[in-house]
Amino acid sequence: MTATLHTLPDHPALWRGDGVAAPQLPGIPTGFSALDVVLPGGGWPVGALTEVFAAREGVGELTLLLPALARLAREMRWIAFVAPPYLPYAPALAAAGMVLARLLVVRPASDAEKLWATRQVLASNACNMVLAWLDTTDASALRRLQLATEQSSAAAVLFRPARLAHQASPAALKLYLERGDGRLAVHVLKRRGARLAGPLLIDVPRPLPTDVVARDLSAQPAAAGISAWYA
Amino acid sequence: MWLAIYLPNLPLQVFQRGTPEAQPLAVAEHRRIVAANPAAQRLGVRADLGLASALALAGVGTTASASAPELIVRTRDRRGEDIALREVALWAGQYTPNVSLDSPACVLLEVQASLRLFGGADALARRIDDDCRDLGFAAEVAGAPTPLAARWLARAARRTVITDEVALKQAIDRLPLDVLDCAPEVMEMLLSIGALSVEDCLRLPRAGLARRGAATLLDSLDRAAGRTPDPRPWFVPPPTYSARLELTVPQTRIETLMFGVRRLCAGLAAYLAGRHAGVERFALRLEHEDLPPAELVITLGESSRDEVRCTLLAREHFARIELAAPVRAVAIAAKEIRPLALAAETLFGDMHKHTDQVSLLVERLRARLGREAVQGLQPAADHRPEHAWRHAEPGPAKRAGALPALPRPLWLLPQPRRLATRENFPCLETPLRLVAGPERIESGWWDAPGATEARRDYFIAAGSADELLWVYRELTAPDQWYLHGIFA
Repeated sequence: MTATLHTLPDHPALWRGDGVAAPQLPGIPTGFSALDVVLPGGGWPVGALTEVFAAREGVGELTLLLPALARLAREMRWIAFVAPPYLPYAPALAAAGMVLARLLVVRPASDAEKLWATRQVLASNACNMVLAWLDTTDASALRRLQLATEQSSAAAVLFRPARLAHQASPAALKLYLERGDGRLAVHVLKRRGARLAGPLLIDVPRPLPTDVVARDLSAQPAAAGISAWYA
Repeated sequence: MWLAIYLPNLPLQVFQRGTPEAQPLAVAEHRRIVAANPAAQRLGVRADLGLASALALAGVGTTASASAPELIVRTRDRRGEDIALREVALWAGQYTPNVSLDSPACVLLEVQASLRLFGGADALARRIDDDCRDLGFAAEVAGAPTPLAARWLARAARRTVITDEVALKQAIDRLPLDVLDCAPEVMEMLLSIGALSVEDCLRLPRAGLARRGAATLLDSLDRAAGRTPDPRPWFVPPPTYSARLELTVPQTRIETLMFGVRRLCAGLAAYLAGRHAGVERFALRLEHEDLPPAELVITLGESSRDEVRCTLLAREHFARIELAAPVRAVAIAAKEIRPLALAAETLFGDMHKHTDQVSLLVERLRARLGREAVQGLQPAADHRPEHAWRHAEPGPAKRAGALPALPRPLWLLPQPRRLATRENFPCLETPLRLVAGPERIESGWWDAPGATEARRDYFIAAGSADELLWVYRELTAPDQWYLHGIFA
């Protein structure tokens, strides 16, 4: 009796709550080992949706993706940006190691077209990672997107407004990003596996404070102040 | 060895091939019905009926017809039939280079050299019969050692392929006389003396037949049996491709139009296959009843003759347009036909196939979203941030610009946004902290004055959530701050 009870946790049909579900495909390594260990598949999920919510634009939400993008680029893979909110700045992307020759920037006009374009990119199997900026709250559209992702061998990362972070969605992974302690705090809102106790603090590369840290600008008279600044 | 592709009821087929469902349809010429499809025949309409009687039979214009499908009568389009026959001839170029037109409704293929490739004459005949459906034509295919015999056999709907002389003679003997297409008075003469088949004719004294005006018949019989030579002119394919498809009734539904477009694309793909060529783009012309035709140019992204790719991209273009009026006919045209090198399969990897997928994706997206909406990026050599990048065609870059030495944001605002200021400090809801800078960018004075010149001090600023922004102030107006980028 006792022996049976002891061996019970090892029974193959029993799923233990502290584990991480094994995905069918290995993920794309994020380039941040702290993040890789908590993600099923050891990286950005392939064949499943990932949702990223940033507390504010500029916390380092795209920087978090850059090592994976650079890695795919080195492997001659294609990457697509669907409906980026601003101009993806070529010099900065190139400096981060992305190969722009294999980047596709798609700018659909309407929400429906954004979803359509994302699905097309996934269905084509031409790109290995799709980053899409979607504002839609349409749950069935997201489900269709998840289905399209399951059919493809690509990783799909959706950037969505932070206010939608706690809405139910078919995504396999949901991350909420904010700054904390001078680092990027990654809250794993949902993953295939047990919940994490707290946020992960990750050092994403940031433009370092260089030469001059701003002094009291107000003290200087407007036009003359500029020449004095460099004098 | 000849194969004949005979298109029975071609006057009907030219109007029917573009639409999936068969409405009662009859074709009239000089106010007399020349052909009727089975649906029309069920209404009692048959060939040789006067137009008025046909309309009366079908109850057109009476209230009784309200529930029954209405009979459509089209005027025979001999030019359309000729175009259709040429399309079939172009399409048949994929089986053999030796194609000959045999108007009005037959295409002859000399296939001796192709037999081994296609696995024998029988297999080839079956394949042609099948493939012809993709074009939307129902065909009768038969084979014989002489072109005329092949046509007659196909015309008599004998789906046989005859290879030896003895079998040929037997087969010709058993043919009914009407497949021989001889002059009506000769036909009448033969019927009046009780000759019903070729065999009956051959039993009659030859000299007597010739004297009674049937000399041409005897001559054709000799040619069919191979006793006299029967030279045929080869059909020379034109350097550009065009085909046209007339719809039974003007259509407004895209799905119905796509049905016809698929058939046109099948023809184009077969023509290209026969020439070992590909196209980069082709045009579809939608002909309306009263309005000028609309033209769609479908770009394939790279030279291709893939039928699926053609129809797929055509569908995307259709999804984007608004039909101004019902479409009466669809025409396809391809001008720049280039030889297409076959991609050799590599042992490892499928890089070519992958690039192919990407170019297909790009063209699909562009077809629906517009050309400008799908772009690649490229850095450019300019110190002004807004000029340090440009759009490029997706794919290998011509050259890469120098990388910036100082940090640059991942997002650039298309237009710098003027920020509010508080005591000369920039604010975005809350005051921003300047954490790095300034970096002076002073460039572009050679451009048109004022327009694109940049004289700015850039700073990296942190907002309330510790997000990093790229802001600048004008040298000429230091109290004016602008947001230009986001370190996303």
